[in-house]
Amino acid sequence: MSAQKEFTAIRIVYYPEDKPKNPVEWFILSFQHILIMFGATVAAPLIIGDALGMDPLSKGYFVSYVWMTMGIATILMATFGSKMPFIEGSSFSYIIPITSIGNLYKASVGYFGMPAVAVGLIGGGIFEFLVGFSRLAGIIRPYVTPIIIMPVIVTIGLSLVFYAALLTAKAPWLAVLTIAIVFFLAHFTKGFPSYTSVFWAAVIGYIIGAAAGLVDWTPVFEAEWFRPPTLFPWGGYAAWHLFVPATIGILPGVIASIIETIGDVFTLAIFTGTRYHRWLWNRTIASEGLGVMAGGLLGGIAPTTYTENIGAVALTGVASRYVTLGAGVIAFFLGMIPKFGAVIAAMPGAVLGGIVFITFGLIAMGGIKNLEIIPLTARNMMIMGTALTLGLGVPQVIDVYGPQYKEMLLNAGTAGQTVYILLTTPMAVAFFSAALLDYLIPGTREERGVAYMEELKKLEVYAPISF
Amino acid sequence: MMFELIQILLEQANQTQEWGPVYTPGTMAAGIIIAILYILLAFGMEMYDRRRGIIGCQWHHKYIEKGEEVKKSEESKS
Repeated sequence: MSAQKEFTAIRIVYYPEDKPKNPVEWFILSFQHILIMFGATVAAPLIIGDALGMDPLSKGYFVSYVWMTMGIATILMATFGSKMPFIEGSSFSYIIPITSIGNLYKASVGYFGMPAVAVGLIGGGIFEFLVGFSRLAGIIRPYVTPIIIMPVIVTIGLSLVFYAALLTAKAPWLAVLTIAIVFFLAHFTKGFPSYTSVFWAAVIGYIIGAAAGLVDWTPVFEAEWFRPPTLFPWGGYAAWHLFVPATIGILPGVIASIIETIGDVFTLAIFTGTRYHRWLWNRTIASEGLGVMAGGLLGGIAPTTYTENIGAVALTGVASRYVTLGAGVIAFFLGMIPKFGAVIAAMPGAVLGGIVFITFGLIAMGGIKNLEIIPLTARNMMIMGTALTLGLGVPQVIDVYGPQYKEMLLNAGTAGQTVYILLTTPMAVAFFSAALLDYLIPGTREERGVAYMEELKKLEVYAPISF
Repeated sequence: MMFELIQILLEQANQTQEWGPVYTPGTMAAGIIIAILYILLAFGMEMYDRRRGIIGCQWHHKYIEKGEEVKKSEESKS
């Protein structure tokens, strides 16, 4: 199949280089992304804060620093990075490395071990930046065949379904109502209401949830009005002597995040009709590395590309990078104006749950779309099917049904922790198992999608710059 | 992994310490400077890319679609 074929999977309202027509529309489209990313972005620092024994006041500060970091990382992605419409949110891949480093050093450096975490993030960020900047990521791209990518993307979508279910559990009726509003606006209206369907569904769901008593306004009244960005707010300069061990401790999170990002770049390229070029990988990973460094410098945590928001791009057809740039600016101000953040945080979980049920499904379908470029032979079906089920099943084996394995790995130093994080990251398991099976089991070049990848590579000679 | 963690963390929720972050005029000023530097880096790179003909993530499409050979830079020859 010709690599010239455009395979935009969705109806596009705004292409990556299109700007929204007016500032109000621009704000609403950007704010739509913030609503979707909010739950997971706040959850990660709260989980880490609890694990490090932070008091509520410190956790509040921590969440603000995380928003500032995510704002900067998202702005970087739209300008310095691949310029694709990515949203950067706090990464769950880093929870274990950060809590491990924090708990290990908190007795010696104080402040919940956050100074050691900060220098570790700076080291991890430099590593990730160099992976992108040295073009290493782009060099391996031709070897990552569509057979490897398909299960990774489907796993990204399906592994998050449990998160959607957790959000929805309190008021499933509200989630159903939200889904119905999104579908109605997206398919039975045209123009502005159609591509801002997520925003309106969130607003209507919020109002109905508030009327039903599902909103707690206390945190909104208690939140501060202003909080500036601060260099090393946890005293990071006190822990420079821990730079090497803390960096090594953070690396498992960096590796898992890079694999996740690789899958996300491919998905977004499909959704936006962007030719899948090695430059996209280099820039995305380098930019994300700079974002991880910002997390260390400004007291936040590491960002990663958010799959939920890629789903939102597919759902609304708004793939403008200027919209995600706007979302980055809003996220940065959310960190500086905590009261604003508290209003969004008060949104009933079921509303967000309803929205992400749709977006996660769309992501999985983005992966399945890859089947257009590879033949569905017995070999391919076995490899992709097995990688998919292993991706979804192995994390359960380690985390839920096999506490002995978890204990063994977590007690085996950094190497053990690395294996633990990779085995409990569904996309990493899917990636490695699909890669192993695809390279071990004999198949023709056409069957493996290698011919297609080579055709794509030939086109790259016209691209003058690779970083 | 997330559910397992939440379970553990709920058990640890009471083990808190009274320590807040460090705020001084110096660290706040430095933080603001860092944020500004990042923004300058972002927009500086955008400007630099535009000068090189890289406008957005789909910049290489135009070369492919026109079918014209673009002069390669030194770094992409390597």
